[in-house]
Amino acid sequence: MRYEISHRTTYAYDDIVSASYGQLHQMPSDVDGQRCLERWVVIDPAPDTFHERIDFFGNRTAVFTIHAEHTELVVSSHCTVDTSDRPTSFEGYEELTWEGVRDAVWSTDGLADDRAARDYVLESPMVKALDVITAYAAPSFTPGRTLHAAVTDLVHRIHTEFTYEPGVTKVDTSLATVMEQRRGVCQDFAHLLLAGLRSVGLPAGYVSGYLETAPPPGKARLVGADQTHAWVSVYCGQGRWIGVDPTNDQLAGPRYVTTAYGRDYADIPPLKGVIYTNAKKNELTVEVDVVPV
Amino acid sequence: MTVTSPASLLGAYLPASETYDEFVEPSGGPREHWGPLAEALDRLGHRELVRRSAETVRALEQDGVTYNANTADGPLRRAWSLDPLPVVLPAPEWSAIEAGVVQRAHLLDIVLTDLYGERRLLADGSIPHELVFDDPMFLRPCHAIRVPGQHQLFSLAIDLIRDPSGTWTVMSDRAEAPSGAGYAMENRMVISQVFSRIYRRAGVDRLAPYFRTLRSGLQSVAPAGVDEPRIVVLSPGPMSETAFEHAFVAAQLGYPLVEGSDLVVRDGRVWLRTVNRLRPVDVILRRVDSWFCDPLELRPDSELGVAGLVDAARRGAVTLVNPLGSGVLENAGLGVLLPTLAKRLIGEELTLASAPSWWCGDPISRQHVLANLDSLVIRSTARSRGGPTRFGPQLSSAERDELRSAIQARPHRWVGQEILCGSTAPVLARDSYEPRRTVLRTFAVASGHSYAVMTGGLTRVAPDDTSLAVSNQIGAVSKDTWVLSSEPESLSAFWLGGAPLDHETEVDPSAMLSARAAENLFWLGRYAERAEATARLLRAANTRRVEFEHSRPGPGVNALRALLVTLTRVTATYPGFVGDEAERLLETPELELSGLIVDRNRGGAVANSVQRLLDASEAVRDQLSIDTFLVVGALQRELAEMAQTSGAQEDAVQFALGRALQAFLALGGLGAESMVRDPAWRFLDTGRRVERALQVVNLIGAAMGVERDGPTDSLVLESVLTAAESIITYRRRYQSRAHPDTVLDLLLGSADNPRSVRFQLDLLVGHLEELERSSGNTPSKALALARQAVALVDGASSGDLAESDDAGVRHQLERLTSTLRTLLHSLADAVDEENFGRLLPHRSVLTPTDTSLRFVTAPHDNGGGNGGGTTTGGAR
Repeated sequence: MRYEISHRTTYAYDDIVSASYGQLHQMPSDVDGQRCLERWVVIDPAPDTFHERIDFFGNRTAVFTIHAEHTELVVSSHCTVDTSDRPTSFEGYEELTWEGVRDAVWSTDGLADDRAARDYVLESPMVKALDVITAYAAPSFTPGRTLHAAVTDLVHRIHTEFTYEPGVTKVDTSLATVMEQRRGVCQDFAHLLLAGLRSVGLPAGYVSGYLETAPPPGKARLVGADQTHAWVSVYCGQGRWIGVDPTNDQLAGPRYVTTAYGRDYADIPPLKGVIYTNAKKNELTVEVDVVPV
Repeated sequence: MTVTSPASLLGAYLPASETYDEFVEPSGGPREHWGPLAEALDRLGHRELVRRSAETVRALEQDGVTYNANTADGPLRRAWSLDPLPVVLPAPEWSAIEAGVVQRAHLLDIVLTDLYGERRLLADGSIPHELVFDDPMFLRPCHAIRVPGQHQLFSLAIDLIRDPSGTWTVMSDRAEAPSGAGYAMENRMVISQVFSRIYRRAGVDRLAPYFRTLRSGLQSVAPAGVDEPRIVVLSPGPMSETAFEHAFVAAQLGYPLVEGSDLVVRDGRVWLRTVNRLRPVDVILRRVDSWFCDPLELRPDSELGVAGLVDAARRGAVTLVNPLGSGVLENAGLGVLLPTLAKRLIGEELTLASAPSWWCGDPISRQHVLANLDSLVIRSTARSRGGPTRFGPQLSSAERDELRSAIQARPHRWVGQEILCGSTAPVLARDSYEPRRTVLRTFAVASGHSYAVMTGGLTRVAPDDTSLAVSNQIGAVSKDTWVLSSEPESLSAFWLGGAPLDHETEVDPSAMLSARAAENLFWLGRYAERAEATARLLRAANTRRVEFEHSRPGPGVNALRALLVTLTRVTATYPGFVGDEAERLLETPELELSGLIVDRNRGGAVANSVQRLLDASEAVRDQLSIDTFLVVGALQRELAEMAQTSGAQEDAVQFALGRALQAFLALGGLGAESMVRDPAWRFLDTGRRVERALQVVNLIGAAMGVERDGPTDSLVLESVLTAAESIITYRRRYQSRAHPDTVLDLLLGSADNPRSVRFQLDLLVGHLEELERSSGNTPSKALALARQAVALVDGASSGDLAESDDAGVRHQLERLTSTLRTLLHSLADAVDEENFGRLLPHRSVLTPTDTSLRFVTAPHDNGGGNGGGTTTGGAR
């Protein structure tokens, strides 16, 4: 599949902002069987500086500064991405048991890639080990079960036992709260799955990106109605990863476009910033279009 | 071991036999290298030593040396504690320590370079990933930051103890923002004064070269292409534990002491916000913990950092030392691996022994630690996590079980270490010398291809003879550390020694003054003046109280009441003598009066102004004569003591005011006589003048707005003149009882009375003209306001002002004082606006991943933690 994506974020403030420092994680690169054919970012007001680089996790990111006074900030990123080579199944990993992957990662004389994946088993800023999640995940990881079966089971359980409900959680809601209320959005479910996988010693990362949404049958595609989205990348050994989406109970196949990887959301917010202002409020609008071409 | 009056240091000193003692041999005699010092101290005698010890305390107090402790009730300013007896080390022994420190610094430098670069040591298994990746001090955003030159690790402190066999052993490494070198230098300055003869004769290696090396090191790490780097010392501010040292080091090096809010990233580089423009910064000596240094890429709620700093450092536009993220080297688990890494990376054995220790991430080591929990000391790998160091023998069985499960849950986060008992050294107690355990902190700084080590260090001793832990936070006492020279240093060598200092160019003084420092100086001037004016008025009122409190109704009592009411109005300490309780308070004013002196929490009270004055001076410590702290600190202690003694007696009030006034005079004198007429002084004096003008205007307005009967007015006016420190001048000039028009002449319009409003305005005009000239931002609004005030004062006639209506109200005077008050407040605001240009408050914004959250206000408006809260604590 090939998509043209536009992603427009608008912050409207109720007072003048004298300076704005921002960091972007919304510039797809060639990962996960996807190729980024074209990519550009437009920021308004025009930034004084814009520095691109590859971050610690291998993502393309940029830091910008604006010193012109403004009351509205618009960040628009555009890209064309081809996802044709994205894996669509656990093909090739069918025989792997979850314990096998775990043991490879924690073996002292194992492969460098396997050992490096430990970064994704440790606690991360927003995914702390919780007894209640350890207990929740345990039934999916029965002895000798394949990685595929165990992961698919946990993903399915989260999908069926938790309700997708925008507005009940915030960007920083804790996992304990999500566990308690059994509701949340994709970011919460991704964190929940991460905590579950990590509780049994499996490496898993947070993926942020886009998902093409099909319009309801018979209706036209609505402009700006697509989503930024978050899912999980599970380690399959030997440096290989595969994406699973607990919000939609499926593999993250070719309809998913990856923008960044991290240990959790805190490593890679699509846009974060520090603003200097007396403004008390800001209104955030995000419009995403994922158009198949 | 209490001996009433020990004849000799040796005779009274009995160290335990199972530890190494720095001073005496196991056989009982003093160690050879202590011989001359021990003899000299014996000649002084114990009584004299006790006297010198008091002198030590006084010297530290004079220098305002503090170590702030973070207590549950907030930060506590604590006096630095220094034992007068130094620790002595002979040259050959020191050479071995020095070589060991240099070797360790080299090794840690290689590790640091790798961890923020290629991370080969992780890939090849030399360092387990989880040890580094699970350390909160390993900062992923700081990946790929490079310090120009030979080293990534710029400075390092190593804590050493000497085990019972006499072997120096490493306890821990400090690499985040190592502290202590400044305290060591301060200790040396004090001890070399207090024991000047003994010190001179002992042939002790000097500490100053360390700071010279530090200085040239800072210059050498400047970004490529910068020939004359502009360097600053970045501090978390006066509330940080080691704030004294930050200012001390800045002053030693001659670089500005700045806080995060003084710096700004713009056009891709870092700037210092000085009074009238941005000035570039090339190198930052970092004393703020990395994690707090940038709210954009590091801790979002930090108030101590600079947004965009990580990016500027990563692109090489500015150099921070130590580099951001260096704290990962303090990881205790890394310490366990160092002996192995040394063999692999530099092909050498570490010459400084490490305490036997085990990282629980390794299964065999873990078993050992769990089996020996009751005899080991257990530490978290990361200093910022896992709570305090646990001493196995001191744990209850419940605590031990809890620790055991914590280790089993996340073994890679724990290290077990054998408990080593450090050597003891004699500490002067009230009537004896007591052996106490010591830790020696050594300091290394990058120098060319290698590292230079401070010849000496900071010795700290346990607070009592049973303590196992020694740290400043729990109140350790420090000692000077003498390394005896291998060869005598001649005086000329002292002056000529070392590499020639970098060529010095004279620095534009305003380039050194941050806008924040200027603002604090301005307020320092204002609070000093406010405290003084309040004290004078209180004294004048109290004099009348002593005279008339128990008199019959009449002019005396009326005047007293008028003055008390004036006091409430001028200090704005309502309701006071004008509220509902006024009648009762006027009858017995004593408690209210003493409250206005000693109540630190009451705005307008003398003690409150003194507190604010002290806070402002702490923030600009590097700009002030150290005598400032001597004066203000002593005053504050006295006021605090007075506040404790309830039911202050009559003369106590008078006495406290007398002492306070002495202190303020001294402070005024310091400003006038000891400060260079640079921009710093100008802001201080501008603050003083604004406040003095305001105080006189308020005094006149409050006391003279109404005409009273002749005898009463005469008494009131005399007190007003006394409070305005103009009574003598008045008597000499007018040789009469006080009349309103002549009083107004002297206090308002007189151009030659240094206490008049006009006199302050003239000086203000001068200061503001100078500021306008240097800033180039013409025209200054503050200057226009000052000139307007001059015209107003000049245009007023004292005779007209003294006129009153039938009810006795002096309308013209009221109008004039009220207009002047407004003008002066606007002028102060204009000075602020034109010079201090604070940044707007900053906050973080985050876009969620899930766009279903799309039409929402920012997370912090809902009280979210990641967005809104601000933090000023931590980072020290």
